[in-house]
Amino acid sequence: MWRKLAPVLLCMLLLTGCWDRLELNDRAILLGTGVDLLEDGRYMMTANIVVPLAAGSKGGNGGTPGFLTETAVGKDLTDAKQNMQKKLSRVAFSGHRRNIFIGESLARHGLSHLMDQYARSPDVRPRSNIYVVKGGTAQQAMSLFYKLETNPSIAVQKIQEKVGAPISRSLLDFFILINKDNCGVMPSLKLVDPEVEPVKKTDNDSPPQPTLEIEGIGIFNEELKLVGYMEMDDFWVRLWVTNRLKHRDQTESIGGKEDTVSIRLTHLKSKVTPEFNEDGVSFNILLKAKGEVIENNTALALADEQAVKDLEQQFEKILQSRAEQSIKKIQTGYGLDIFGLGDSIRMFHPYKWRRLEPNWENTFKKAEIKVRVDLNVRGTGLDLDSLVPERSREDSQ
Amino acid sequence: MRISNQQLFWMIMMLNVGINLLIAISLVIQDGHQDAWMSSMISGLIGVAASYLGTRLALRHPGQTLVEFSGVILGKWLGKLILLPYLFQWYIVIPLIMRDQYTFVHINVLFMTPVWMVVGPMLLVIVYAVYHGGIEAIARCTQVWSPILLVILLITFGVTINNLDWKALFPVYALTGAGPILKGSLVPAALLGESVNVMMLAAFVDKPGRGTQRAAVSGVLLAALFITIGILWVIMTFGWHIASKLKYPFFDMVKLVYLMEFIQNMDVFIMAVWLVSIFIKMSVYVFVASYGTAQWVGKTGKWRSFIWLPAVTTFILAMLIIRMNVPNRLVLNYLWVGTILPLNSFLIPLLLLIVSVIRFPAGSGKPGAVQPDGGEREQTQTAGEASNENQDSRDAKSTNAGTQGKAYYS
Amino acid sequence: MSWFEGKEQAKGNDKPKKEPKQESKKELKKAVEPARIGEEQPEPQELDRGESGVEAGELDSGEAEPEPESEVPEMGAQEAEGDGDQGRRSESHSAKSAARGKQEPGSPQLPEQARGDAQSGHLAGQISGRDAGQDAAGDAGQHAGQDTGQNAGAADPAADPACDPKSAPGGGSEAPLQPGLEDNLKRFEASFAKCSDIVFRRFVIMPSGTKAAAIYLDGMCDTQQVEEAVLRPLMEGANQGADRFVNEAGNEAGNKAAHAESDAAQLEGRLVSALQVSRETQFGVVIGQILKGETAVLADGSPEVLLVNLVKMEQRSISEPTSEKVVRGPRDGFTESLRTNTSLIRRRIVTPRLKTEALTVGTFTHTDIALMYMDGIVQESMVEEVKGRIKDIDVDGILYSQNIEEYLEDKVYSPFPQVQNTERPDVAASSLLEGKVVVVVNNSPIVLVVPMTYWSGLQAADDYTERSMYGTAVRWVRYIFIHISLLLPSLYVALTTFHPEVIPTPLLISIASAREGVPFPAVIEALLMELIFEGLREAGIRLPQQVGPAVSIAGALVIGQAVVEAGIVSSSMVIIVSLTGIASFAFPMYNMGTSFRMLRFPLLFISGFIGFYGIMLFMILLTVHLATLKPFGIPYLAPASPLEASNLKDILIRAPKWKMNKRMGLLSGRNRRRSPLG
Repeated sequence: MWRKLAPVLLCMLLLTGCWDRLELNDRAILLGTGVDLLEDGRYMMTANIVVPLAAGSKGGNGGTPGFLTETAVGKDLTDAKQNMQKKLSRVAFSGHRRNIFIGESLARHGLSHLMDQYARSPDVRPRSNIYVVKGGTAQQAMSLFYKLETNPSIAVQKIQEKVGAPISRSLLDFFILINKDNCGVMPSLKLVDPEVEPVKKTDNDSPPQPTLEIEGIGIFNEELKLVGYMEMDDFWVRLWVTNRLKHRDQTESIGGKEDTVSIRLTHLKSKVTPEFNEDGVSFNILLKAKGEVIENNTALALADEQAVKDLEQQFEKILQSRAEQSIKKIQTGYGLDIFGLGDSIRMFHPYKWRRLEPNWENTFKKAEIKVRVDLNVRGTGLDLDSLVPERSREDSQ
Repeated sequence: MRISNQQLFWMIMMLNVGINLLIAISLVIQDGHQDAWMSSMISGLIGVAASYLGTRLALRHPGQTLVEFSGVILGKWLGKLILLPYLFQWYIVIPLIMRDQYTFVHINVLFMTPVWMVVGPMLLVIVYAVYHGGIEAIARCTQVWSPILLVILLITFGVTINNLDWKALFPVYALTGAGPILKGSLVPAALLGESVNVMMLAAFVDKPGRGTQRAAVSGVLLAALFITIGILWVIMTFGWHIASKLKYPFFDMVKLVYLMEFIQNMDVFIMAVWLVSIFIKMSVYVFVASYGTAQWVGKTGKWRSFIWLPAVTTFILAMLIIRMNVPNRLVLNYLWVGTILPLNSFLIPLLLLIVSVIRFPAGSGKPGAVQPDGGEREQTQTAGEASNENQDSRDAKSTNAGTQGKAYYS
Repeated sequence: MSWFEGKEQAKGNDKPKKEPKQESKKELKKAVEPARIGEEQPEPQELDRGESGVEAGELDSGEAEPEPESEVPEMGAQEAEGDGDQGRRSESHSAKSAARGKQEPGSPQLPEQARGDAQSGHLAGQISGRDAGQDAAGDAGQHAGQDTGQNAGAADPAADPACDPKSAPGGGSEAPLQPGLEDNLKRFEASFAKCSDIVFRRFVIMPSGTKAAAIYLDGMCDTQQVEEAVLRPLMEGANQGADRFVNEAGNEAGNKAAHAESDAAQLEGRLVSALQVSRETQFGVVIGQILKGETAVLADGSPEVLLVNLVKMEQRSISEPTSEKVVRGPRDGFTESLRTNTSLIRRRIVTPRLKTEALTVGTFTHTDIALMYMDGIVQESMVEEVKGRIKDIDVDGILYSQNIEEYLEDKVYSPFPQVQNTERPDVAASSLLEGKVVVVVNNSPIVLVVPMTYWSGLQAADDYTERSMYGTAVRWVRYIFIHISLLLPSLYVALTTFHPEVIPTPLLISIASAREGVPFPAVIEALLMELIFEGLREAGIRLPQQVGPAVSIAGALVIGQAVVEAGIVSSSMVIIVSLTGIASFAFPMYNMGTSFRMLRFPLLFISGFIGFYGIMLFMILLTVHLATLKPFGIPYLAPASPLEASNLKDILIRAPKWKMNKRMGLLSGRNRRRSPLG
């Protein structure tokens, strides 16, 4: 008798409630969050929330934007989030949050009080991007309306991917780097105004708007304080040295004149070889790339193989000096080994690393770094010479 | 109840893969750093040794479980005494695993569901499986699910290749020493060493012999292989600093998968792998516990009515452990590594083996149903099966026909 | 013998009939033992004759040995009684309705009137006789008080449980038939009181002038054949046969030899030229056979009844099976006639090793069942098991083969079917070749195949008629769709309410925007839509053809379109439910489909409570349940587990025919290789 009753009772137990079930339209889907530091020391959190009706297929890009921005203040991130919940009619859901924006002032102040949540909380997806907003606050960055995407957070994420950086990993990379090398890098954004003042003549005009731009990286020291930036022109060197750069179009002036040659670099590799001497370490960095000429505005006749070789060598020199300059800037300016040079010692000469590690920062500052570039120009895009007549180019010189 | 050698192989493999990938990885990396994969290989060897020992011992007394032949080897009372650590192990393992599973599910998926709602249904499914099918149904279930799980695991490994950085493995061996590596290998060794419980399962194999030995050993080997690959992958993805701090690094690694804007956050499906694997482990242990207790007490035939014993203790103990929030590190390092690994997995089987070789040079027990206990098992099984199957058929007249019908299947 | 001899010998013979009867009892397995109803059914002799037709070369049934000489009935006495019956006639069934208005209960019909009415299909010359006072018109039995005990019993046969109701109770069924025609006829008429479609046709066997009667069931009897094969030779005298006897009779020894045959044997062997004839002395058996359409010929002076199987019933012609269609393959399907079905299988497997064993089930329905199997391939224990279970069936009627399915199943309460049914003879034939047992039930176009594995429920005949690679691809699509039909609504509910992080962001935003404004939680929405869909499906079965298209349009428009526009249900849910519905039609076997459909609902509930965790637990539970199912000792999941790798070829892929050369070891222990047939 009880055997028949038991399943019924068990099923009734099920009905006592569904605890974790949350309807989709009871969730506020956060796509990006930003943190800023207020003057009184509290943190202000900004969130980009999807408005489904407008962002869905029926809504659109006209009319209301597909997102709304919400802010809240708190003592740390969880506190701020809870305070934000007071304003939200739906439960904040960060499962899809891919972008975290850090305001500059907060970054300079130091992130060590904040970052713990990003590792511990189960909400956070390791595959997230984290950015520093240069010269602004996160809130400003997140309120911008980006026309190409429904949501500025997604926009920024996609920009980063297209630039050549690894897709959506900056949070994880930041953590790895911090733990490994005691320094960290984070992509930095800047709000830029259009280069030319927009003039709107009719109502339907769509002149360029203020928008976000990936500017470079921000450099953090081991206390997670922002110490400086690396511009885009230098940033790619770091990517190259750490074997992360996927492609780059490099434009240089050749032969001292203003005319430029642009080469598309692919297959970028680097090899760091340390050399040990009594005072410390010196590094030989070999950077390899393959290239194709995509724009030639000089008078060089690229049909000639020798000319191509010349071009190669000149480019190599230029790249080399650029790289050395960038590295020196960081080395002397900040003393942080963001290029991963110490890794090469640690990985392949571990016993020496044991000796060097306690004093690595100083050793790094004094280390001599030599760069050699090996470029292999494979194609010039055209079989013979340029379509632009030679005489016109010579005239301009 | 008969299982085949191949089913034994799958069971042992599944038993070990799931739990190790779940809880052991971060502990190993804490000690072994970037050489944790070496620790894992060493632990694999230790596990192989344990299971080899176990099968060797069990095959000397075919058809008899650990409870039976320990009584045969050492005499009745001493045999029963020496089984106490095993009984303890069986009864405590299940709540511990249940706790691990609850924590995992709770943190990642269901954070508001009460404990009994997560633990209860799992326990019910386990009890149903053990009661209605015994080890045979569990073995068949394993045989069906294992290839699927293997494929999912392989796909996971393949899909996460993009995130790997092989440089994170360097330097090899130099910065860590032999000491930490060995220390790191102890925890998975303890878990793999539980395979010595094959001593209980080998009695049910239909063709005991070298095939059984091969099955058990290769099960442990393959499991160790997968765990090593898992550890390798985790180190290469995160670097050992982070990996040692994450609670479920394998899981987090899967969270990183991002293909073509479409496949993302596939960790929920990995949870399926773990659930099945843990289910298999727990049901095997519940079976072993209830059958072993029944044999220990002497009532082999009624082992089904003993199922409530591990079930209830599991439930209560699991709730207790969860409430008290005993840290896993404590349990694993002290209890498991310190006591159970040496004692249950090596010392006692060695002792039994030596005494067995001395006392019964040719081994005792014959394969099949000739032993009094074994025979009892056969008959009671048939009757039990027949009665089970005919519970809802129309009348008892078909019992004869039913028994007759079962006679020919192997 | 005695019919041709005349009366003098008839009077002389008065032997007791018990011993020879008892021998024949054992042979013929009478059903009149009161021990257990339904335990031992008499094997209908026409079936035996059918299967042994190749081996036995004689017309006789294998069991009915030539009787020892039958007694000579008290011819004279019978004759005296039977005289008055010549003018009577019983009504045919069709005439009954015509003549009903004219008749009053109990009144004997005027011969002319009845003759004029009863012209449906009968020869004009047929004269049937009937006892005075008994009427086939179904009126309140105006028995002239002749058969008191029998009549009282016959009025309520079901009340006597120890009795086989097809025979007249109260001891009448056990007693063998008497030699006297009139006594026998009285018994028959008592049993068949108020059965207006049982026709009694009296005639006289020439040239001996023996009174005889034929009893048949109108509507099931091939009247033309009966007239040609039974009545004409008997009534016209078959002079050659008589001459033969006359020639032999001249010799005294020959006389004795001729006398050694019973009357019925002589009829059977020499006069009645029908194909299937048997002899019977048990009253109950005769009743049973008459009810199956055989014609019983009783002769005065012989306790043996000749049963002539000239059955002709209206049947559905062989048509395409409706539930299992193929694109490229044979289109004949089973019909409701047992003999047609077995012949359809026989056409495909042409070997004497295909055995057909006959059983009968059901106390009132006496449904014929044929058990077919390949001797040498199938395991005998399996056949014994099936036979045992069928014989154990103790029920009053079996109307559908699915009723037998319930008796054959091990676990009736499992959601999965353990007995496979099919309407296609090629599926049945291939199952036979694999070593399975096929149960064909009369009056049912569905045959049962035992034992069943999970995979055979997911295979379609179409796989084997197409090319191997296409068969593999289609098989995999089918597997995916089958599991979609089980899992999709639950997965959708679980993912959107518990784990939205798995869904890609743009898709999530689309779903979220579709769900805006929907008043129900996802679980309720899903349940509601599923219920509506099931209701639609159920209603669709019963739609008359004219209304069909209109209702489907209404369904699609209302359910699909308007409900979404009104905002009651989200459009993504409609997509999910329709996908699920489409997927559930991918099942090749209907009852597998129903079990999966049924399982969808608890799964939906569970996923609504604990999300993906619950789904996984349920799937584990299902797998464990499948692993414990062992119909007839064959594990349900074989050959996936226990593993027989060589047979996985038929599950994972569809290997070409020449690769599938091993049967499943569990089914056919010793005969593994398929070709050559060993």
